[in-house]
Amino acid sequence: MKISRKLYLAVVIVCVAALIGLVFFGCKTEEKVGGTMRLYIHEPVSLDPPNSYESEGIQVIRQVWDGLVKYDPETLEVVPAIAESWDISSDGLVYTFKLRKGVKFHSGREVVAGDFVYSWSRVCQAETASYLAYHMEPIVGYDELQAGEGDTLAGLKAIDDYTLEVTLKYPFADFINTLGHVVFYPVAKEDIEEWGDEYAEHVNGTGAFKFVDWKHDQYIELERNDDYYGDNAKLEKVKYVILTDEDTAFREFQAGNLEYCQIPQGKIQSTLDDPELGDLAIIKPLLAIYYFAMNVQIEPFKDNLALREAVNYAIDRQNIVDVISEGVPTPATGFVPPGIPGFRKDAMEYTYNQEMAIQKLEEAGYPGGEGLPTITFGINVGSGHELVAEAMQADLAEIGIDVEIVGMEWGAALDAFKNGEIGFFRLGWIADYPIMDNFLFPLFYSESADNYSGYSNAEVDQMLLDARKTVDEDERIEKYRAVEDKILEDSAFALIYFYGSRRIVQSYVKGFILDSMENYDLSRVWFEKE
Amino acid sequence: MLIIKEIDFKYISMLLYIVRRILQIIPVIIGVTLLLFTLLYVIPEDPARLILQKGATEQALENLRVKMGIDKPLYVQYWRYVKQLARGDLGTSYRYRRSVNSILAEHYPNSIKLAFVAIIIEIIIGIMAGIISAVKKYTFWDTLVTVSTTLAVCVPVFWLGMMLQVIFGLKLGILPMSGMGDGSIRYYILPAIALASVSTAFVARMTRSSMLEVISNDYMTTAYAKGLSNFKVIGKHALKNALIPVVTLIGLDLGALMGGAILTETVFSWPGVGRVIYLAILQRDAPVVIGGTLILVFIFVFMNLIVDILYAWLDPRIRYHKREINV
Repeated sequence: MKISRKLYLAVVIVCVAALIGLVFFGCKTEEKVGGTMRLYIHEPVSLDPPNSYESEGIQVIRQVWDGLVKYDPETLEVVPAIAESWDISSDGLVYTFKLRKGVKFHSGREVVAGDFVYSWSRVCQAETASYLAYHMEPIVGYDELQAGEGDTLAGLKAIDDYTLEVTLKYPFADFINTLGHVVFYPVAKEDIEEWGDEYAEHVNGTGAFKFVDWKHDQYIELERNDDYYGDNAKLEKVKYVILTDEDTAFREFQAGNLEYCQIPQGKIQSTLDDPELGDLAIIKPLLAIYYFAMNVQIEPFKDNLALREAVNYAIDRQNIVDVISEGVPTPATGFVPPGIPGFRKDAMEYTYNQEMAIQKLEEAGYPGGEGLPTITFGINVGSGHELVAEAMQADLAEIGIDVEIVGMEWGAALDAFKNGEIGFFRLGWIADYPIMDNFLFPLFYSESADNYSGYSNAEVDQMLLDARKTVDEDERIEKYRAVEDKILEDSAFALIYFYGSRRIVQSYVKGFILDSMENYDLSRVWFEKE
Repeated sequence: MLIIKEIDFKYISMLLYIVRRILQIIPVIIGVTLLLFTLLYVIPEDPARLILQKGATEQALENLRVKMGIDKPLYVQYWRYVKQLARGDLGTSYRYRRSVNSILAEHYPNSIKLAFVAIIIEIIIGIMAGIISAVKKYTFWDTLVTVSTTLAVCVPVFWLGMMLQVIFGLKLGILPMSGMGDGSIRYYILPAIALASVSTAFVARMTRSSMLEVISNDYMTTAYAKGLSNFKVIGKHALKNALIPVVTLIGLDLGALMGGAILTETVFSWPGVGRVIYLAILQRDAPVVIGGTLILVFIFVFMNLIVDILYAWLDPRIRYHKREINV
């Protein structure tokens, strides 16, 4: 009797232990398909695709929407999303997209070709005054809509619910590569009619996560979309925590209250040296360039290649990268940053070489800087450009070029640069899409709205237009490389560095890939917690 | 009969005074809007240019200006704004394209709530410390209060905020470091301490000096001579008189705190109005700047009024018909 009681007790204990074990084991596997990922952002300007022009809103929107195509996070090549396949006419003007059946908005309605016609036309209409309308410039009818005539892009046609035809004004072989941008995401007409200006707080996308709530200056909440056309996300929820101060955010990360965060300026080296945090940091080049422009239309840079070259040889880029920017960026090697198909790590020959600089300055007619008036250098204030400008000023002073730094408000600075009031100034450019064209056409095409440097070269213009028409990708890349070389020959720009990412993500976050545009796809992420 | 009349007169004159003060707000509002409008438009900075970072063709800029309503001459814009304001509509933010009313309605209450918690800290700790150091003059306690108030005044708010976060949030892990969370009181503690620190020190100092002045008066000796307890003398006779300048300070401070506190809001990511207005100034988001400032003007005028009414309660010698004559 006693023995059997003991036995009974033992069996009960074993069973209970097994049950507890099961529960724990169960929790462990449960973690893999659940969880809330908390990410640090600033308050976005908008979540409405035509107006989310800054990185913060874009991060959120990319989880809530899928467009016709998306970018592979590793190669940045275009892969199908809502568009199953596409055909391009032989003249490169007409794109025909076959849409996937059964893709739904989060409201439950199916996405059809007409939604793209509506959404893209809405972006281009004058009254929308979209911050991003320029992305649709190649499409027929863009100029008319921008001028306030009509309400539908003439170049868009919904052949049937699952076929979309897009006609371009001119052949633009990279057009397909631009379509991964958020401005091309479809919105439902009925939502815009219902919410109007308040749509940004009721966004209704097509992606792996559904929008739940936006508490301004506090958080944005998303939840898994179980009706997603692709593989469902593993995370249950995504919470974008809106914080105003990156140091505070970093402390929250250290306290375990955030999964994804930015490493604050000034703490990068100490974070990399930290035994716990070092491995979590993501430091990598971004598709963005920081550069100084010399206006070749005005004195003293006008018709003086040697002077421009002297400036280029005199600047110690590595010093700027290491000392001022804590090694996050990488010294520029050309206009096109690493990560873009066609990148060359030796596109530019200028390296820090004081002897060469002195020699070039002499060639320019100003031996030791003699006879050269003080050059005014323009920066926009309030974004930390002063330190870089001062480093450059010191470098140029060493070879005898005197530079005076002038700080201005951003808008005023751009006007002063464009009008030629200031002939030497700082600029930056962040890629909209991972293509060479996006670095060369907007910045150097004479007629481009983003060409602030006064750079105008008829030969370059022609080469750019020619490259845009070239359908074969390898051939096209070669043509853009020739454009890049041609511009570099003019030495009108001192390219300083490619911006870098300084992000950090908790060790238990798996499947998280940060691409060189600082985009990521949370539908592939899961937690592996002990 | 006579007494009742006197009371009637007292209340009527007070009421008249309040009405007059409220009416004074109208020219203030007109002045403020006109001033801000002129200032924001005199600055040679095109808000459209600031927002449109890429692809800023003339056509795109013009479309944006029309959308913002800044394509018309200044007087047309001002008149439209005044008409809008009369309907209680503060307009639409240039940058966020949302109604300014809802932006402010979301953020002002958070600033006001935090301001109240900070003021409570200010009142309790500041006045207590002031009384203690006045009553225990030249003792250890007095020195302690003097030293700690000097420190509180000197330490920058962002540094204090950071230290509070590191100690209570990161190291001890007992209090949240940022945001409002679910709105529970735990989230208020650290930002309210940081926000109240400087003012608490001022309140303590002013209470101390004011108390010392009052304590040296003859009627205090009389009060002691009547045989009243120390507690009663200090608590009733001295404190009520000593508090008059302190009330002014706290009242004005409450007005200032309600307008938002940029540094505290930044360090603690408090969703208050201070940062909203600050960012709007940087981005030339005129509707938000003007709307936010208007509300602030209301709060200030209102707080001043409350302070003046409190005066009358604290000091029976102050009567509004007298003040009216003075005015």
